[in-house]
Amino acid sequence: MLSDEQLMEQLQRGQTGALDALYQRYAKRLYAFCYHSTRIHPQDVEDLVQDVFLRVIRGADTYNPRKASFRTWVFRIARNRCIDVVRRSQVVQFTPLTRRAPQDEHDEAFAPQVGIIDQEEGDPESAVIGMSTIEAVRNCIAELTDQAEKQAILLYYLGGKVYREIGEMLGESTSTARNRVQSAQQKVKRCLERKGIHATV
Amino acid sequence: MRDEKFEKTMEAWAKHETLSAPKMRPTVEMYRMVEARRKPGILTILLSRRAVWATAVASLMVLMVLYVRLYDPFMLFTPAPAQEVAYVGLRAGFAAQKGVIVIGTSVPSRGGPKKAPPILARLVLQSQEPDSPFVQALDLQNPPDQAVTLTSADNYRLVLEPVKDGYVYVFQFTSSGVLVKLFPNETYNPAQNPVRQGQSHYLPSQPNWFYLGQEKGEERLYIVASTEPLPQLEEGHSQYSAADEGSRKQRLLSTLLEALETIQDTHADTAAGWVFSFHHR
Repeated sequence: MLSDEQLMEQLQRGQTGALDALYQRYAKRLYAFCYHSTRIHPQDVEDLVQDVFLRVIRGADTYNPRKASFRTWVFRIARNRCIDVVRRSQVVQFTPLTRRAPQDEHDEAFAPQVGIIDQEEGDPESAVIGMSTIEAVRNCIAELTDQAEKQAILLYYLGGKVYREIGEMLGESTSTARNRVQSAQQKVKRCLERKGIHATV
Repeated sequence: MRDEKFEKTMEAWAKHETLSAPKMRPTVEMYRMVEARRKPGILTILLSRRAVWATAVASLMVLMVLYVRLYDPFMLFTPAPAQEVAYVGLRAGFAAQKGVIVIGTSVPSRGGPKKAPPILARLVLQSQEPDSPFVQALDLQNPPDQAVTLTSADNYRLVLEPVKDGYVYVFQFTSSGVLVKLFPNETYNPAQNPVRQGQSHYLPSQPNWFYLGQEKGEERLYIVASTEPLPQLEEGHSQYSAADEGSRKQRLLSTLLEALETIQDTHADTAAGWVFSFHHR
């Protein structure tokens, strides 16, 4: 299987197959990251992901695999776009402290009612998770008031657990990134405990 | 909640969020943008309609140029009438150059080395008439004993070939009474002293030729070849050129002409000089 960097090289040479492969690898992860970073309408999140990929194609010549991995590069673009969107729309999300029920259709759209996912991949035990737990984690992440911490924990779980890369994505040092992730983890863990998610897994 | 359980919960959440995201595909615009990055292959370039047209037009132009050059069907390359010049003009050669007729005799020239070692292997005056298909070449080291005549319509040039590295100075004393420095002079040839052995130096540099001004009379060429530099000739000519018309200019001219004509006596061991006169009618 070709690496992201090899695919990027092919994309630079105009091979559309590389775009398909990169899209398949990253579109959903970017979607999840952008959705939780911005909390905008799912359709707008799709547009945002498209915009990120348009920027990837336009800036393909400027990408240098020796400076950063493709994953770091694309998540950094996504993060910057998310910040722009949030700033432009001036959206301020107040998340209730209680468990949040789906309030509109886009919440429904994002969160399918089936609580069992992808049993064919990985450890079946770890793959099974209840919908209540998913909702609880979503709410707990949404409750993170520090945007940098929120982005750090999202990048950690959605963008790969490499502190150095998270630091590069956030434009911070590795140790700062580690501190942010660990602080966010503690907050989310406490939040889950408050919501009674002790033995979900 | 234990850390391990928390990690598993978060990983499961991340997996769920990723997999439950809507299926997305690149847009048509994205595909176009990526395809636009593709560099066309050499075959594609060669077979493109534009390339075919460009090749056809270029071939036609080359053929037209070659045809005219080779056959001159419309006499396009007939030399333009000579422009009015005061002393010595510069223009392209006539197209009808088909050969060289060498005219030379065994009569010694007025000049040439006395004691100095031979410096020039060749010292030739080439000339061509507009109607003649030939170039005439005069060996100035063995010039003909009959008078040589050129008109303003004729072209002429000098060909020098040093047998050793040396310093060459060429002046023309025109029928108008003006001494023109032909070499070293960037107007006529970019080469500078010292000239290198074994190379033919055309004066003026190819493809140019000299032609004479409208003033009729006697023209004289002074050629000096020396193993050592003769800065006094260049300095003398600079002073002469810069001087205003008048008695001082005439004095400087006389001094310079005398220096040129006696160079073989004053620099017997190092220099050789030739003076070649021809009629301008």
